[in-house]
Amino acid sequence: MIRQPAIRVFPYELNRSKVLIKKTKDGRTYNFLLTPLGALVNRVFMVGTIFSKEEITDDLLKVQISNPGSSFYIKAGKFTPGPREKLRKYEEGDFVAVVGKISVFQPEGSNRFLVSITPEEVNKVTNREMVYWIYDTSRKTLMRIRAMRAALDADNPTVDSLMEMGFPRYLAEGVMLALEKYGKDEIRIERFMDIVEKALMYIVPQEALVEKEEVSEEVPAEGVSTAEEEDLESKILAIIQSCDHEGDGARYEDIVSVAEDMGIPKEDFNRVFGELLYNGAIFEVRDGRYKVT
Amino acid sequence: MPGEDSQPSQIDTTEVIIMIDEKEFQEHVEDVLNALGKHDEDTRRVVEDMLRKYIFKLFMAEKDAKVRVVESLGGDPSKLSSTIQKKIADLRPGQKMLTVIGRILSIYSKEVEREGRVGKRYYGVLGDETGVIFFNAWYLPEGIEKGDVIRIDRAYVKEFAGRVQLYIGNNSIVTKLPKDYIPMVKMESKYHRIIDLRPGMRNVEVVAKILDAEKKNYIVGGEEKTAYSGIMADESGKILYTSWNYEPPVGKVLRIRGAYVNTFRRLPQVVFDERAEIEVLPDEDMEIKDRTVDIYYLLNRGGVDVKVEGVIVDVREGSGLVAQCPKCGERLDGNYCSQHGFVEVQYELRIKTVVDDGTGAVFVILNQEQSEKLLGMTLDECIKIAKESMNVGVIEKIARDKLFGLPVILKGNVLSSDKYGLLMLPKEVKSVEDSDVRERVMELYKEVVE
Repeated sequence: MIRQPAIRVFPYELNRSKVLIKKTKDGRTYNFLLTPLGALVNRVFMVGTIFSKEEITDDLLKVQISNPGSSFYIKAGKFTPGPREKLRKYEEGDFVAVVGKISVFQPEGSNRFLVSITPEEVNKVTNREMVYWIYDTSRKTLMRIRAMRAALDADNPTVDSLMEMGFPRYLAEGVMLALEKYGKDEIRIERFMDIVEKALMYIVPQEALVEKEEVSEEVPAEGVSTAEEEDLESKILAIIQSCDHEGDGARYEDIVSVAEDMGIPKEDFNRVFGELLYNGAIFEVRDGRYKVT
Repeated sequence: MPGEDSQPSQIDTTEVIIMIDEKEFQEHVEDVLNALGKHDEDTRRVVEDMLRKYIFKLFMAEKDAKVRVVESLGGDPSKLSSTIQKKIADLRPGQKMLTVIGRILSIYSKEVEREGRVGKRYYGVLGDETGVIFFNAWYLPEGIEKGDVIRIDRAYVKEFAGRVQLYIGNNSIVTKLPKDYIPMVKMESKYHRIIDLRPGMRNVEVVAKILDAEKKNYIVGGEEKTAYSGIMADESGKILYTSWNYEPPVGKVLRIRGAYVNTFRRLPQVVFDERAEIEVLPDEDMEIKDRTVDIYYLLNRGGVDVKVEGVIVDVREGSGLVAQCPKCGERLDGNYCSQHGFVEVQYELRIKTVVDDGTGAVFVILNQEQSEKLLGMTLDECIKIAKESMNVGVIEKIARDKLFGLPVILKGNVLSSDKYGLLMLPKEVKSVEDSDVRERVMELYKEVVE
């Protein structure tokens, strides 16, 4: 079987996948996650910032990687000792690139998958690779959005009709499969378009930024946050704003130390900070500096 | 599978779909029914259910699943066909035990001496609705001629002299079928961009500019023939071509109807002769530019003089400093050559890597100069570092740390083989320029906001 390509996909899209596809070939099985935009994902290439590290057991290291709009987990266990040892040495705030297979777990009673990446190789990279990844992933997500839009706009789209419009076969097939499995109403392209736009804002030169009228974004809350949680969120948002002295983003270390001074437990801080980043309420301006959206 | 995770590896999903090639599956069902000698609906349903379960739930190999089904229904598994039926477009070098049904489009014979006996060897072109292939037969039943439809069991495919050929050996079984067994395919030529041409296609139309032509003479079937070969291109890419008995004008744009596509030295090639409809378009010109192509388009095809852009996702073992004997160039493990004894080792720099652009992956081998350029280190510097750390392998590690994740642009030929996938020994390699990315980001951003 041909080596599976490492798909470029924002974790936001990956985390919203609800369909797992098994393909068998010569008695071997390959798992593919079908995203709402029709990417069939068996292997991924991701770049992001190390957000947190957690030793689950002596053997298993769980690393949360954050990149525009969302975050994802790498789980390096005893079968991937090379990447695990490298990840152990890296520090929070480092940029890492990872190639790996997706690994899915479905909690009982849930209709969503928890996706993590089993790394084949990781490496510390620089700002340059991060920028290229955001660009590359934006471009490829946009391709999927275009193909999906074409399919949604057509009366009776087929793989052939999409290919006639110039989309490559893999894209046309993926889109048609996603349309069949998710249904028209489930696929909300605007959300993915939003993510692409936000991601590009990280890397587009400041002078090119277009002033846009504030459009109210209805990003529905993931689960209901309690009053306590909301309180924590607003506290942390306030800390980030207050630490942003020069207007070029608050340093992560400063945010952490102020939060500590205010008596916010490290555990809660990590969770809420992660959620804020995931929801796009805050974003990383550059290496280790954060701003409120 | 999350086998190594602390969480249970249970994937009891809301929706698990199994992708199957229904046509291939039905062929397996037919095969089992034939072996059982029953073709009634009830048996078919039982066989289908069992096969589905074995293949897609228990993930058994198709062959084993069939044996199991035939046994459990009281049949004789040895009656299962041991061959796989394939369409001509799906034939690839290395395939064995094939069943192929096709029409003889041309046939020649030749007296040859083999193991002291004089025999006849047949060769020609076989076609079905999906494509054409050269065949080479050590045996054919009496009276087979052009236009006949034949079924060949136990055929095999090999690449020989740059051509993918279907071989009919002494163990093969050839059966003549009625002429209308497969439709007479008299298709209109179908236009394709060069990048969409795939080996096995026939009766294609291309509009392309001839970039160069080299003349060679061959003896085919006792007749002298002239072939002109070179590269032709359209705006989507380049491809090899061979023109029989027609000299294409270099630098001109041609419209060719009725060509077919095969493989030459693991590269795609367009072939046409005087029977094709060839038209020179005197007023047309094409600007042939280096366009970046998605690796997806090169899968199972290869590419001539292509440009790909992707990220280094693997630096393979065997990269770094390679020790050689200065006298014979043999690769050494230490400083002992099996022919020349202990020698002063000579080092070379090599990088073996996988470049992936999100649509496909290419295995890439970089030569010394390219490796030096990408690493930003000369051979001498590498040798110095290796000597200081008393470890030759250290360069491989440095290469991995420096190159993994790096976006690169490669130019050159991409070879395709069934067994190893895509391989590239690039003519040119460079990392993607930051300024270039910045410009492209601006463009993309504008597109998105508008």
